[in-house]
Amino acid sequence: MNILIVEDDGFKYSEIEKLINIEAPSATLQRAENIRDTVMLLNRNSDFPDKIFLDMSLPTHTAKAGEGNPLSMPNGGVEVILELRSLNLNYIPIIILTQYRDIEIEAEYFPFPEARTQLRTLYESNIFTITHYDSENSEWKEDAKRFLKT
Amino acid sequence: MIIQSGSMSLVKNTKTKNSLRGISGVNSPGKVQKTLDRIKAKSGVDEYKRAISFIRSSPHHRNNSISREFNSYFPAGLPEVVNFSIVEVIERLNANSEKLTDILELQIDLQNKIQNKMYAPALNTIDQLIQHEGVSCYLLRALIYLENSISVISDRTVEKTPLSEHLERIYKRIKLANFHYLKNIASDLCNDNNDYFNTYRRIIESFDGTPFSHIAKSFVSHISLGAEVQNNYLSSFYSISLIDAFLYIRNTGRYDENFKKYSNEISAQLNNSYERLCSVEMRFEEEPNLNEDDRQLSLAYFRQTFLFIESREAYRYRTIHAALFNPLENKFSAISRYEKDLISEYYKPFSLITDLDVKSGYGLNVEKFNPLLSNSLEKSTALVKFIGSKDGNISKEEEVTFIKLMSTTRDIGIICPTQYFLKLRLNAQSNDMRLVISCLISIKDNSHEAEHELRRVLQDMAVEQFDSNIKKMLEHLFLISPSVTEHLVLICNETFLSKLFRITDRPNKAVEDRAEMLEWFGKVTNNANYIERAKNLRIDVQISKEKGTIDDSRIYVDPLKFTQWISDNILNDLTLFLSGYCEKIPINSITINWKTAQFSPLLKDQIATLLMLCYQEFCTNAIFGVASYLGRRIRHGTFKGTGLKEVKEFLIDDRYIELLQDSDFNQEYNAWIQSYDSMLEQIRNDNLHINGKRKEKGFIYSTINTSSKKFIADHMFIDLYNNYIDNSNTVALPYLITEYCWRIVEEDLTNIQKRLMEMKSKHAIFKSENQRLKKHQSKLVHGFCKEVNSVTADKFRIISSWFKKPSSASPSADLILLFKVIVAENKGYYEDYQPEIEAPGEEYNIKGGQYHAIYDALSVLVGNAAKYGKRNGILIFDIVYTPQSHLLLSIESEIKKTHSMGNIKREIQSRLSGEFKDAHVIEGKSGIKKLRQLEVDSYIYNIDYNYSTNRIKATFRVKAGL
Repeated sequence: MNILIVEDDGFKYSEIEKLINIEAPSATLQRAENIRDTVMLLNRNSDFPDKIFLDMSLPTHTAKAGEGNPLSMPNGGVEVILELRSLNLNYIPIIILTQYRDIEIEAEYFPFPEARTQLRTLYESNIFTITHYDSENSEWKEDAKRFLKT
Repeated sequence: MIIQSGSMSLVKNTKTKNSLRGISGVNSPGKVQKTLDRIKAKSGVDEYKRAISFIRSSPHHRNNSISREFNSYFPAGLPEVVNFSIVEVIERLNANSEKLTDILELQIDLQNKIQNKMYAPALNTIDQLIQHEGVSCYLLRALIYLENSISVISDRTVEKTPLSEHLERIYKRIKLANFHYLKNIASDLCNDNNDYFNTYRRIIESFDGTPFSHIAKSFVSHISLGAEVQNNYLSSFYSISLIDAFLYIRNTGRYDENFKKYSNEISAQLNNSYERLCSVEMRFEEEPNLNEDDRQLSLAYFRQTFLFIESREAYRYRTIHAALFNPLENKFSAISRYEKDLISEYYKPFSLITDLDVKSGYGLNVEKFNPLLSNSLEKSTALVKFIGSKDGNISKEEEVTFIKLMSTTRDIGIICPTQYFLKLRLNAQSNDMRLVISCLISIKDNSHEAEHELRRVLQDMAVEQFDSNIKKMLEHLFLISPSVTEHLVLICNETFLSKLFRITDRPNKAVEDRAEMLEWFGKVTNNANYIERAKNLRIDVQISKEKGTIDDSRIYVDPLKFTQWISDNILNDLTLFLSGYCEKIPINSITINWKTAQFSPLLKDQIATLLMLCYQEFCTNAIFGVASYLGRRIRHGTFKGTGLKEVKEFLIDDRYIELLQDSDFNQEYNAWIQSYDSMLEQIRNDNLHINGKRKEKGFIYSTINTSSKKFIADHMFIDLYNNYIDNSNTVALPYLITEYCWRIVEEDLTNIQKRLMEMKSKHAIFKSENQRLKKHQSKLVHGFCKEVNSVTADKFRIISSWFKKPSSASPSADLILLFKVIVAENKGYYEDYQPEIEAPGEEYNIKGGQYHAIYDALSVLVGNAAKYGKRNGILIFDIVYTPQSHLLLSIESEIKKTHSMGNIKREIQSRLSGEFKDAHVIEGKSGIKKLRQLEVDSYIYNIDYNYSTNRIKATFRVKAGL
């Protein structure tokens, strides 16, 4: 199983990685730290991921000295969801792990259950669940385990 | 139920009679309405209607200020539509036909005078109309037409003329304030400075079911279908005046059989007068100074037709074009048979899309459409009609014409239904067409989804055909349709380009592409503004690079992105309004109502509205605004982490193990942590947001909501105005606005700090109530509490400090830094350029916008030194502050050994005295001619050159704090 983790926060990524290594040790992991890397990876036309762990707030690019500051997009995850749809990859199941309490969709904020419905309806995406990531709380881990099992 | 008016005997209930007697002679609309509301609550709707009918006609209630059959001033109006049937209304019309005929005759006289441009006599007729109690919606429309005409002939001078003074007296006399909403809406609809569709949307969005909102709707949608809508319109007009109700019935009778039938029941005398009123033509002459481009854009006739909707010609023109020139998605199914027939008849000479693609002159086709002599509105409605008739299926050849027509039509993105765009895009046979349609869709649909699709199409095309080069793609498009290209240049701002992920591989590429695109477009359209913006963008980027990274420990708004946003979205309109509003004299005070400015047609209020939009964006933009910062703080969990982490660590602190082993104390501390945690959670979830519908407890308001913010906003206006008249350009305005936005938001920031401290004192102080422990381990308990409270105090101090304006927030630069940027640039141009730099002057900080002129001048001098001077020679930059509040700047450089100082001197002197008018175009930033141009434009003063044996010293002055 190919799993793509779209996550810019190193600590959060390692927590997700740890969990996957326990729950799905045979899975192959790919990481993208920003939207551009994710878009380029999905456009490569091969090795499409079977599942995606997606952060919502993402930078547009990798920050490099002398190359300017990337934009910080609080709803960057939506950009990935739209790219999946335009590539007809919107069947890929996604779990959204975010530190926000609500999700911005089309300039409106929605709490998680409503946001999931919106994302599925508006963008025809296959969102499994949206869960609040908190390093001190294990709730997200339970959701992630369920996601890996399905 | 037929209700006769004027007689108290028709009001049945004694209590109602008494109540009405109680308001006899009362002229306060509030009091009258209160009494009416009581009658309605106690005696029901029928009695309420009878009471209204009574006060509308009773001489004792002449000044009830709410609703009359005839008015000598504008009534405040009823708060809701009270339904009167057409039969009831006609009964009142016939009962008053004589007086109504007198009023109609005066209206005919008025309309004739207006059409013959006899404005002073027209105003006299209005005085007569007022005397005859003919104040009505009709009169409002006529007054707006007159106001517009008078402002045109007075050439927009600010001095009062006898005509404008007369008009002002009339406005006072008829209490225009009561019709404030309708007046603003009607004025905006015909004001070329306002976007027609913005006003259209405002009418629809602010619709609240009141008579005024129905009347406003009738201005843009005069064909009303369905009995309920028609009755609401009729009752609304009736509530204002009998004459308005009469005109509505007759105007509606033009297309509706039922109303036509009822019209026959109105007195013949009245009907005859109406026919004569309709015969007065609405002649139209555009301002004579319009050039061809302006004419293409002109909508003026159409926009004013609702003012004289009784005129047959104006009515017909409006009916045909309003049916198509609107944002309705279902326009083709909503068009009535009547409209369809008029449209078919009008467009008979046109059947092929190629008919529209003709090099034609400008014309106004009131009778029949003539593609050879038509205007952009007529071509646009024709194109939409064509697309509708084809159900969105057009051939490849038609696609080519469609794209070309984007430059001679207007607002297609708004008036063409999306269903056709989707079909056109799906069936598009070229990338050009796909891109054009995606652009059109994104005009109407500003969703993330539509923008993503536009970016996808644009990238596909750029990658497939133009080697991923956006500028090359624009060059190609420019040959097909300059308008589509202009649209793309406008939307392809830095943020948009950053999101072209397949093309933009690093953040700075977006800025570079943007600057390149602006520069190119400026050159091909001969528009120096674009070139200037490209240059500023490059300088700002250079300076931001030299300055280093942002200060993330305080609230932050990216000055570069914000000033670019202002340039992209606000500056054009701001320049237009300022040029219309500004006199040559500086101002030191201004009166603006920041709450209502957006509804006002006055230029100063429109400027204020733009400034408010800037502040709103400053606060709410999710990418560079305060909201973005708040988001990042919340996202990274810094806020809660900072506040909570160390407080929790006390639970495992060795020093307090004994204390915490006491279950009561442990429970007490854990409960306190929980409450402290909830408080932090509440601040994070509810308060650290921009205040709005979804976040009603947000601490930051994106509006001018307090008197001190108003004071600062007023000063922003004054400074902006004075800067504009001082410099005759808008270069510095984005920077000034940024500075003022910080000053405005500072009040909220201070409040946040205050409220955080309040919350701290309420919820962040731990005090043990455990008497047993306090008695036996008092020292330990005391020490624990003290330490916890010291930690929370410390954390709240840190959190508070985030809400202070950061030092790097203002777009400004030190002069020496600017000099270093220019030297670094020249090192890039000349590889062996390694001057020995000296900069003995003191640091002097200049504001954004100010540094561009200095940058230009220094670029010329350093550029010449690099190009012609000794590559490893001395380069001295000095700054002297003079007693005349000037800065004297100098660049001293060494010449090459092989050069003769005499020759150099002659060359410089010749260039300084030569022709320099083409400096912007030919020399770019490298020549002495440019330096002279800067001096002539008063950006710099007193250019001087001094020569020694092997050194040249060039000096110039600039105003300190210019």
